[in-house]
Amino acid sequence: MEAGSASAPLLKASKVSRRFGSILALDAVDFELRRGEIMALLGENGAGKSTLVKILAGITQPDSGTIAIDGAPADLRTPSRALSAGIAVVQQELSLVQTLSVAENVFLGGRVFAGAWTRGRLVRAARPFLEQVGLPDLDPTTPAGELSVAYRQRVEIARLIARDARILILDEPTAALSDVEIERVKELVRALADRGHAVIYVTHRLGEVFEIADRVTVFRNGTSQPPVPVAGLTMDSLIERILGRPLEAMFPPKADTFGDPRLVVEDLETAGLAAPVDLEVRAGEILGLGGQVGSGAERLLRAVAGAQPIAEGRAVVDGREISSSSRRQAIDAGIAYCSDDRKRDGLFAGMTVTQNFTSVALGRVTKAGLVVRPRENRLARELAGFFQVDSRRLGHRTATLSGGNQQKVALGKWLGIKPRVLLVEEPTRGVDVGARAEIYLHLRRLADQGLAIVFASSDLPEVLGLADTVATFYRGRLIRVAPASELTTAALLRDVTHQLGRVAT
Amino acid sequence: MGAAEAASLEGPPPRASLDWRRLVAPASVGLAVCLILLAGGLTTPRFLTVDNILIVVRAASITGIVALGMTFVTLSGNFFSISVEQTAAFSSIIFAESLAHGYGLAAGLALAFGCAVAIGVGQGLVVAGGLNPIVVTLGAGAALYGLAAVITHNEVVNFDSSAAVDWIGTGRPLGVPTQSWAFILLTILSTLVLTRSRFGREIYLVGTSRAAARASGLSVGKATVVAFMLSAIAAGIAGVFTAAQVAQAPLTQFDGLNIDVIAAVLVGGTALQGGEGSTLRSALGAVFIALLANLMLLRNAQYGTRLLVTGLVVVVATSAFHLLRTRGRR
Repeated sequence: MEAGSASAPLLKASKVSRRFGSILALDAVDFELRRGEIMALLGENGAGKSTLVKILAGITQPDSGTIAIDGAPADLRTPSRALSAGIAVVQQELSLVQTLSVAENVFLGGRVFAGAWTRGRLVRAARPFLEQVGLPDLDPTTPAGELSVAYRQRVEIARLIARDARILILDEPTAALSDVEIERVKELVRALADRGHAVIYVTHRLGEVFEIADRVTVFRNGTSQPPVPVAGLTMDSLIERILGRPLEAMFPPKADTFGDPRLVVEDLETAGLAAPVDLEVRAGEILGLGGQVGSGAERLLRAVAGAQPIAEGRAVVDGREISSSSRRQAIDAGIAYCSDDRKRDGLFAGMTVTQNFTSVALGRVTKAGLVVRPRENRLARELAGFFQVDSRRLGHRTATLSGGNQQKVALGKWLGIKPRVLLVEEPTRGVDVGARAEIYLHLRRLADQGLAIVFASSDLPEVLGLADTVATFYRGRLIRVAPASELTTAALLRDVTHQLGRVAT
Repeated sequence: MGAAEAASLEGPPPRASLDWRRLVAPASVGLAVCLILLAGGLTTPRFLTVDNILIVVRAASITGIVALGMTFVTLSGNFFSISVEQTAAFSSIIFAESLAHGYGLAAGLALAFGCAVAIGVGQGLVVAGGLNPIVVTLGAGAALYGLAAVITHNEVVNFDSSAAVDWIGTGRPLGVPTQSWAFILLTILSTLVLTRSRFGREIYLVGTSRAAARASGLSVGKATVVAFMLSAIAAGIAGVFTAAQVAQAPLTQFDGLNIDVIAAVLVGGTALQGGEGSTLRSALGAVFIALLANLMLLRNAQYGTRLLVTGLVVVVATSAFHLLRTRGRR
């Protein structure tokens, strides 16, 4: 290794400020990173994390402040200069070229080979980097498009290592991964740090912080707090640091009585399920479907929602069978459904918050084919009020809201159809801790008002904390249904991974 | 209580209201029209005369009416229909043939618009089925042109109908040509439909995000079919007006209309990817293009020069709107 003692920071940002229009996104923040350390960068949405990441990556420039690498001022004016300075970002949206092979992707835009580069040479050169990211057995000639998200992420990291990145920034690397894959990512990050890479780890999953990070820097409202070692923190003290106040409870209290069955699923078969499923949700009940990505839980929700065909069996809402596989008919039967991909199909990003709120209930705000503005505004204000979305922002484009507020709009609009059943995939994906507790609270309030709620999640503490009843899924099969009070996270993990005995209870 | 505090902590403060970029796009085409009027008036004596403005308005009317219809297609996320020129020609030929064969005016109009509706719905259904709108309308346009040539045996269709010519073709209620009345009224009507009606809202929602529209139970197919139908009807109106004006329908009389209409929509600033824009802006876009063409004509610019300038204006306007939009989103 080069110069610099273990304690001298590899990267040091001092008094960095950045203003976007009227918003001071970063207000004289300090940040430091040592060689071989994993620094968790935490904060609510809008706290300034992503602005700092963009500055370090050369995507945007600070208005004032200095950034030094190894004690010398760093030139981060463009992404390629940031990369030359040794800083690389693993993007949330992965940037591999799908049609090129793994080996080609590893060297894409980077190293220039002297002489002719042949396939064999490229493959041999790619191997060591793939080994470093825990993929020694992956055939480097495989097209990147054939890989799973977890594999693609690692190939992307291999590519950054191949370009001599000493500082790796991982921006929510586990957001799209299942529990088992998350474990592997954590192992990999640890291994990279052990080999001397410094890692900035941005995440909303606080559990991960305690498992892998050495120190934590918390951003709040564009200001930074001094880094603290993880060893001196508890989950509660960490949440308090992020929120700037104590959080009474993450999860609201559970229900003790339920009404009549609202949604009954009988012998239902659909693409993605390996065996027929029977389930029942009562009015006032929150049913949590626990399972990894691909477990079939989300397919079950899609089928009930009319977003994919039901092959066999039936779904009955309040005694009425849902006849066809169209969203329209399911909506008419009172079935609200939020997919896990809010950006893709949960929101109309370019439309206003009001127009999003009323998009699924146009019938309620129109008369003789015309939109009645007062009615539309009233419905939007009512829904915004229930989900505590700032009513001053109703006229703004939805894309300008934070992740948490977007999720509240994606969920809240469904109240417009006066649903009987609410189906939600990954209710808090990409949502920060404060807004998360809020969303749990709102879901519980809806259940208390008599709605039956079914959610699917790969976040097991969420399943256990929010649901009254839990159903676990593994590879397209329903493993068991039990009251949440009778289950532990360890038991859930066993169910959804089928690694019997490996996890201590 | 804790939750309420969290809501106020999160996210940047309101700011979209301060975003000047989003105000520029709608106003810019109006500004461009004013600028060219000013520049033309100052430099070219014959430009700002009543006669010349009437010529411009009539020229803008035909392009403008078709552009209004095209805007529905673009807003619904289906890019463009590049068969409007052929649809207009086909409708005008059907109209002229009907009258030439002794049918009444009402029957001629019914046949012409019946064909236009069928053409629009047909293309809309195929596009709704998942085919690329550009390819579908390119093919449909060629087929229509061919069919029109077969029907007319490649000859200009002449007809003799004083009613059609007097009422529709050359009438000037209050001194303004009927074409321009139609253009103005249709601009108002289409703006009301888009901003006030449920169907208009559905067009915007579908154009903004197809996946989200489907997930919300909206019919992407219905929006697509109706948008193509409106576009074809608008082309049909242009066809009937033009035929009635000169009591004949040559096959080639609309050559170049596709490009003019697309230019009007783009200069108006309607987003190519759908969901953003308005028919009012397309109408102003058509006026702008017509003014520009007229001014160059008065200044004795060659055909090539005019084509070059129009093309450049479209490219510059489209790039500028694109930049405004992508920067505005950051």
